[in-house]
Amino acid sequence: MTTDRTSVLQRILPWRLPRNPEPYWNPYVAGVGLGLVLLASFVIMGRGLGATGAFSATIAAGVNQVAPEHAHSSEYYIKYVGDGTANPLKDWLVFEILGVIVGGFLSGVLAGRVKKSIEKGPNISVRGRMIYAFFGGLTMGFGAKLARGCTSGQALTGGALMSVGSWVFILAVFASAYVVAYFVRKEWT
Amino acid sequence: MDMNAPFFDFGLFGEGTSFIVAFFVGIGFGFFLERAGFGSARKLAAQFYFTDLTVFKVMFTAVVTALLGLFWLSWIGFLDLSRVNLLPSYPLPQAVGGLIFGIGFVAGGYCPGTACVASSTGKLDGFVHLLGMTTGILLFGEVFPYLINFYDSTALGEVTLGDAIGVPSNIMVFVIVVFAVLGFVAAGRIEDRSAKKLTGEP
Amino acid sequence: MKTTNRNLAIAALVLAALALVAGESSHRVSVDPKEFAYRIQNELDHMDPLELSEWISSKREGFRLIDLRTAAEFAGYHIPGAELMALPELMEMKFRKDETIVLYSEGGIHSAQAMFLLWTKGYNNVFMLKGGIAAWEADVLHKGDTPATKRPHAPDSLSVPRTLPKKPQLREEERFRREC
Repeated sequence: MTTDRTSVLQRILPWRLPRNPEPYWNPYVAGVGLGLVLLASFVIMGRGLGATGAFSATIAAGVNQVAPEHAHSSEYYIKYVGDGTANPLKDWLVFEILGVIVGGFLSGVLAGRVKKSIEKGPNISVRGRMIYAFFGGLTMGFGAKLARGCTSGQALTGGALMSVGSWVFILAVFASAYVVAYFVRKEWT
Repeated sequence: MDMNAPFFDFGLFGEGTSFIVAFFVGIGFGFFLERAGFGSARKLAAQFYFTDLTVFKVMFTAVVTALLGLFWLSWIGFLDLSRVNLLPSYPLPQAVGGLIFGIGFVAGGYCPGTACVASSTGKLDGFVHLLGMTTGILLFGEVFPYLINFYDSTALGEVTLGDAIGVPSNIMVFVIVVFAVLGFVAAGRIEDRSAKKLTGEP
Repeated sequence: MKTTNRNLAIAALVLAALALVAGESSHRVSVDPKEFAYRIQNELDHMDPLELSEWISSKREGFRLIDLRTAAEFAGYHIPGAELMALPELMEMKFRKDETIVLYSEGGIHSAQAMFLLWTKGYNNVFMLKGGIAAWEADVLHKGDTPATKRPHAPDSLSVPRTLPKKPQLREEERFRREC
């Protein structure tokens, strides 16, 4: 009797009760799902996915709020603020990334994988991991801006469209990540 | 068949609705990223230690799925491929950007999309990663005037692999799919071998 | 899981093999006559000789200039930087989607027809030289000789963006299209 009630409660309020996280999906099935989402975006909007652009737009909006003169005199930010009439946040990618956050949460909740945690290997401290996370993010963000996109926009979208620059990007990412992996092995292994 | 897609280009709805579409597309995107396990930096990084090649499998499968979808929907006349936005190619800055991105990817453990998914499923390191990324973007904005010539160099315009080497798109599709399947078989073998190494099997 | 994987692989290979047999999609492009009419009516389709001469003298990049006349006429004189191409040859050409193409002929009729045909193939950055070689000779080569042949500037031709220039302010949709 108690087990029945527990399992019913688990269905309704999965994040309330301790629960074993479900295993991940078959990667190929998840890949097909992802590919279909990408395809739907092409068919409905005539464009693919993206992520970095959402952050760029949000940051541009922030900079414009805090230091509008700088935003309007910068060759970089002018692309986002324009003549000041359009709000940089009115951007397809901004809404898309909000969806990504919600979708990730939804999947996590349904699978019992939402938990306050820190992903790290066994041989590194939390502090060490956080330093890596921050500076890794910094480097990654800089690289993404230089490459005009990230794995979502360039690798997935540009990959499916067979765009030359996108394929060059993804090969460069894998090449450098494999090399650098050796140097950061203490973080993960 | 009459061409109907991309729907937005054919005026089926306006900009406001497109933002709602964006939101739902994003939900799908984030959902499948998390399903695949990409909310975990350890799983993402494992790709580069050959122990778990999910990154390769998922990404390449997604590309192949969309690639085949684009080809066939265009072929039957439903989708007007000429109206799908092809990203312009700038191979040099994109290669260098990719190299830099790769460093950050394996050191930080996430890419922008997966960092969002990680953050929304409670990973604090994912959130810190996003903070770092924000800083990186701010930094880029400040040095951009000095990089602008490099940033715009090797502007090839909108060009596909097929265009570049003079191969028709249907052959490109076939070649890519075959390579993908071969790659997946190889990935399976590599993972098995890594697993055996861990358990000490011969 | 193994069966699912095998089935997915088979499905992908079958679709890919069919693609190999099916041939490239016949470049079907959606054509909107109203859009074409709008372009023509608002003179967004042509450029005048002075503008073209400015493009050439400023060594502007990213456009192709195509001469649609005969080889003999081309050898006699052609606008610097022009490529000679017959109409059938032009139809076989595969241009990049974002390449700017400027066409000219003797008086402009052939270039107008060729431009229209390229529009139907989905190339939208195609323009014709208004008045053709005749106008070029009058306005550029023999500038000032015969004021009576000076053609009035088409009001829109100079202010219309020909390609996607590096304008600091991109319109909402353009930025939306370029970021990812």
